[in-house]
Amino acid sequence: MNPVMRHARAAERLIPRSEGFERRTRIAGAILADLRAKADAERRRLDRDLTEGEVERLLAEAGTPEQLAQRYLGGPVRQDLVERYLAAVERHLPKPGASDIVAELREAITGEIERREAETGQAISDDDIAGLLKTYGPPALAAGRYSGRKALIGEDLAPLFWPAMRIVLGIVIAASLAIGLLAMVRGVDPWQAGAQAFNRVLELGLMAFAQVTLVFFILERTGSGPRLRAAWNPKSLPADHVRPPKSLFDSLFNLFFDVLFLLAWVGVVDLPNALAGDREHSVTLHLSLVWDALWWPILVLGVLSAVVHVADIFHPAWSAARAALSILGRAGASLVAGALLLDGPWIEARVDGVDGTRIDAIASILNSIVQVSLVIGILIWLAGAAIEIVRLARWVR
Amino acid sequence: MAHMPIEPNILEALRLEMRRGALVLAVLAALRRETYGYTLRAELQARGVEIDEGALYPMLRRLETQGLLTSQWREDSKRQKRFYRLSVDGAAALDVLAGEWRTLNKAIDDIVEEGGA
Repeated sequence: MNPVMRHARAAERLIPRSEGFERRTRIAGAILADLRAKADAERRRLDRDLTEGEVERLLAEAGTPEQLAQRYLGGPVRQDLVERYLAAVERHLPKPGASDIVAELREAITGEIERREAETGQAISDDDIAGLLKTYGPPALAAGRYSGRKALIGEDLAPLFWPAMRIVLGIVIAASLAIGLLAMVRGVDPWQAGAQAFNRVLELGLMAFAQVTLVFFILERTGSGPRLRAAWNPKSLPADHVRPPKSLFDSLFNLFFDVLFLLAWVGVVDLPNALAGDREHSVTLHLSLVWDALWWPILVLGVLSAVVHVADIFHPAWSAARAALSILGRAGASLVAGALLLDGPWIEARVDGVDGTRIDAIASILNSIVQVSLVIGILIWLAGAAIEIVRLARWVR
Repeated sequence: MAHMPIEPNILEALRLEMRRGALVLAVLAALRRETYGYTLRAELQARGVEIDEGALYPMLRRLETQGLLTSQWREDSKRQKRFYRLSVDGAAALDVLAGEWRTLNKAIDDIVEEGGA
């Protein structure tokens, strides 16, 4: 977590719970907005990125978390919605130049808010801020206008078209490469496996490209773009300070392993399981029959995990729906792991022409590792579920 | 054949298409004098050229990337603002585009007037 976000969250923790979740979140958002604006102004003044020491000095000048919490508790809070919007726009912008674009947008929006307040002599309402943000458009659209890219699809849907295309093509390429890699591990000639993977990427990639384009073309023709834009409500923007948004790398990394796991679980690819051997002697490891009874629950959990990681790519910030799914998945995974723990062994070694005693010892060590892993897994999943329950409870309140 | 009324969204699309290129010319011309986003928009609006905030800032960025504008962050009324002005290349481009505009404007005026006469 960056120092600015850490400072704002430290201040948030000092706001009494009696203020209620919504106001606490808004105050934390306003503190974050001000700290970011100060860091941006300093960055522009120096015309370079700030060092860690400079950021720390800036934060110290802004006030300790206690001072910040006290200062913001005293007055009305309204910048939170703007900051949520800017954070969402920034997520859709390429890294170089993003902070500069966001700084300019922040200046334009807050300047407009101040002008309206000066004209009316009253604090602007959240509804008016939401109305102002609607003139800039949904975050993906506002950020997409900076790309200058000519799109196959109209302005309203273009910001969704390219991410969707990248995800679908990414999955196709990752799955094709994973299958090729496993084929090589299983002894297929590397050149042959490589050529097959290349052909698969081309064939499936072209099909995926055509299908995604067709789907968006149909959406475009049926007027979904303007409808989506009109239906967008700035008040639904996520609050990043509930938890930092998931990075694109994390989401894609997790998705890659979800796909690999699912392909292996349904038997499309075979994971290497030979421990040692030649023509006369061989040892292979297999999952025991204990897993068979849990085949469906594990498949459902695998699919759920993949769905959540795809959703993270489109919506990286925290949301109540994401939290509910996460709790469900972690509870399910803990139950499955618990059921597995009740009945071992989990790994069987099939021996042909090798000394059975030595192999039993290896299988026993592996089963111990699985047992410990299951226990650790349960603890991690339950802790993760507990954190999400707390966040969800705060959100519900 | 019965007369079909023009669908409002078709008319709106045609109007936007026609204005798009003209807006760039208006922005370049207005930036012969240094100014920042809000004032620029207000000045254009006062002269009858409406431009959406969501479109203005990306346009300024694009023109700067193309080397037609230069920009600088500066403090004004206790706020940091990004000021834009026409670059040397921008001034040359403005001359060419303004000439083109006058010629086109005159030609289209003639055609429209002739059609209406």
